[in-house]
Amino acid sequence: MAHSRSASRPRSILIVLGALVGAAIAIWNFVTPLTGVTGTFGAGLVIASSVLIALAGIVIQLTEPGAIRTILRVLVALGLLGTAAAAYFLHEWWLIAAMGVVLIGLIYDIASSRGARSKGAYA
Amino acid sequence: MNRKTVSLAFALAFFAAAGYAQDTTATDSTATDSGTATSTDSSSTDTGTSATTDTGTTSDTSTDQQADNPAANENAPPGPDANADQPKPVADSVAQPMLASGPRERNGTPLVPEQPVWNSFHGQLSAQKYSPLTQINPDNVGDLEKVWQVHTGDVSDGSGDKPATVWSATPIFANDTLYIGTPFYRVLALDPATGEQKWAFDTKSKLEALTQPALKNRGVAYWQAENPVAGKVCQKIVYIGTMDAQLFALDADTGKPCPDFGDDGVLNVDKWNTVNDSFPLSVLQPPTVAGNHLILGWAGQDWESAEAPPGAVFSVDAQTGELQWSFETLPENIRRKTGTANVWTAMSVDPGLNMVYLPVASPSPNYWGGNRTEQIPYATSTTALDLDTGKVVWSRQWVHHDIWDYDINSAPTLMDITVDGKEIPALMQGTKMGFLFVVNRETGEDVWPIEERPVPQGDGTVKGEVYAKTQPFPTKPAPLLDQSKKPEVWGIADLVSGGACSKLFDNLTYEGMYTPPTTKGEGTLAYPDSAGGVQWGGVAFDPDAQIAVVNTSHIVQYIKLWERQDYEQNAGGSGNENGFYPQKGAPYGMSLGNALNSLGMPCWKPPFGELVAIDMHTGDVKWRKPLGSSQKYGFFMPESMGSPTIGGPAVTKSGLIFIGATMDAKARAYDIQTGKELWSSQLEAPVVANPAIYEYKGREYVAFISGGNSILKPTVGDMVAVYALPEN
Repeated sequence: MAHSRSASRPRSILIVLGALVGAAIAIWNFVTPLTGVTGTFGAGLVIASSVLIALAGIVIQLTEPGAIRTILRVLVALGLLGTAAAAYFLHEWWLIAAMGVVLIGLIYDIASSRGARSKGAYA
Repeated sequence: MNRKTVSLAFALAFFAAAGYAQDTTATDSTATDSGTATSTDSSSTDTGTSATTDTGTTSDTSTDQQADNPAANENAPPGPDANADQPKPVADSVAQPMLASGPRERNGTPLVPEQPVWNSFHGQLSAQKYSPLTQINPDNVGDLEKVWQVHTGDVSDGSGDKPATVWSATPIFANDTLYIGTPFYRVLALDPATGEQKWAFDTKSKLEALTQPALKNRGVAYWQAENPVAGKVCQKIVYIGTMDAQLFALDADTGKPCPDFGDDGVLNVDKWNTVNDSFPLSVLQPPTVAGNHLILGWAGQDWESAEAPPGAVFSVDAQTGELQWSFETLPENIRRKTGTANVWTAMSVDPGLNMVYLPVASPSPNYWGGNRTEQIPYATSTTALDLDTGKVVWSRQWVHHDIWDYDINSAPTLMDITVDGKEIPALMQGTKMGFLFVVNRETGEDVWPIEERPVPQGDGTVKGEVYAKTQPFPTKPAPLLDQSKKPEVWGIADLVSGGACSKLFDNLTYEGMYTPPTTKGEGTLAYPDSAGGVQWGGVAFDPDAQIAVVNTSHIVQYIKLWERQDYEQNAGGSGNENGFYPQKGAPYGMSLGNALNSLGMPCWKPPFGELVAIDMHTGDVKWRKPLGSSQKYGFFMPESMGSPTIGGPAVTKSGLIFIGATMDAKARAYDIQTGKELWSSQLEAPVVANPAIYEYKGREYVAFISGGNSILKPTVGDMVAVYALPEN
């Protein structure tokens, strides 16, 4: 089945990986002394947003094409933008890079889904 | 997008999320009202030094001495004239220095010590905060690394049983030791190369907010005998004062109390608190040590009270604590109805001229002067005294009839400058108003003209006031803040608040700088406010390059006076430089608020703080740039906006400026010629004092105390961080 093949491909792997790396960076900044944001609300916020992006990536991988996946993609896009913005103001430059990976993952996910749909249409 | 564009694009979203501006003017919700006793176990100072150093021996002292009568004061200013009921504008009489004696002969002692010295609060008695060391220079400062750090354990955020701490100490280097006072009133003697503890002494002082809303300490002072007696203790002494008005003298080698000083090592300064003892004479600033003199000021509570102890400065013998002379700032006949005009910050000394220079604060209460319409020439002044007698040599009043809390709050910086080819023994006084007054330190006469200009006369709503007709304005250097016009509303803050900032500014009374407090509407716009301009870090000076360096804060507040009945009905809480204060004994209570919108953003346009360098040959600004970054919830604002600053700079012969002072809790180094940032290091809390620069066994070190102050942000710390170049 086309759906099964699509779901089994790791389309959102970069979203999940980028977000998990981002969460790890944020956690490091939150707990390590003298990062400038140690123990701050802002650093905690980007931990939470990174984890939520990772969860969304997992759900995207598991859901079929449709409204939910689209909504999740929009939320991931908003989440990575917001997280990157927060990271900019927290001076967490590596977290911004991680969000770049998430962005690439999101683009890849969308592109690969379109490819799958196209193949289905011609089949 | 470039960095600036990105910054602007994100600014709106950031502010909405972070409510950034509350930090620039943070009310410390944990701060205790002045005078409110907090139940504290004085034996609970179980906080040993941690991290790289263990707590060593702790000596015990618990002594209380009963009062003696103070020595008669020969230096009291003349009382009001016979027509005191019809006060005259004070400006006419004090526009020029009150010169009590002619220029002094120098005795050959150089103003700038020939050896590197950092044995007092501002490094040297001249308060230049200058080191002739050159090992660390603009080319290698980027390699600077932290060689040791110590956590003292003496810290409180106010959430427990102790008030919050405010740690504004500069470490001092003397006797091959780094001495540090903590806000729990302990002294630590540390190895300057490793931070290892040599000894510690606990004063066991009450950790209560007796006069200040927080536990405050500005460090320790050091004295050593010119001709030490072999085998006798206390030939080198370290001093620390306490909130409850005790001054401790400790042997610098052992940390044991000096038996010949006061009562077994403790001098009860409060014994001189005889006119009005509504609160103790807190000794939070270390005494100024000059020869065998300890010059002592004290801190009070003039936000709270109209009737307060009168400002007095005491000189005591460095070895015995015996009173040598005292100097009163208030005319005798009004000392019972007003008070303070005290000296709560560092002083400076010219040993060559044998003169001590006092930065004198405003009288009480801070924002209403109907109880003190007589002339008080020494209030809000720089006053030069003869070191041996305490007699006034000259005095310049920088604010007449001060009703804005414009305390002179930093030691004047003494400097020899060359202007138009002429060598001038000068003194620069930084102020909360953002003015830098420069006078001849021998005579108090202007270096560049200081003009008396007419100022606003109020709206007639305040009873009993007699406003000064004029105030002094320096023609050079240019003001550090542009107080010539109403501060501009910050567009972003106004936009996101739906015009609330514009509305607030429109509803505030403003007729220019020195607009008197009013009872009308939202009150009077105050810019600079009492936490603005230059704070106790003062001005640093490079005597070779003849460049003065100073950091500033740009903060807008509003002040309102409340009729007593209205005050009782409306008064709310108070914080640190923010909230309601009763001005007990006055017909008005007062409130002070920061000009913020409902999201907590500053309503005024950035920058919020700057670093400024002045060429003292000409009095012109050499460069100025925003300093540091404001921070809230961890989020940093663009550095182009700067940060409010508390603390001050230190400079080196090699052309460096070291400074903390910012909300982002960073230590930084700048090139003194260009203002370019060359190095920074993250600390745990803002550095709210000057750094110290010293040399030990051939290696140059820079020490910062990361202690914090709730005026900047609630984060407090207990960290001493020392930097040096890597060893080869």
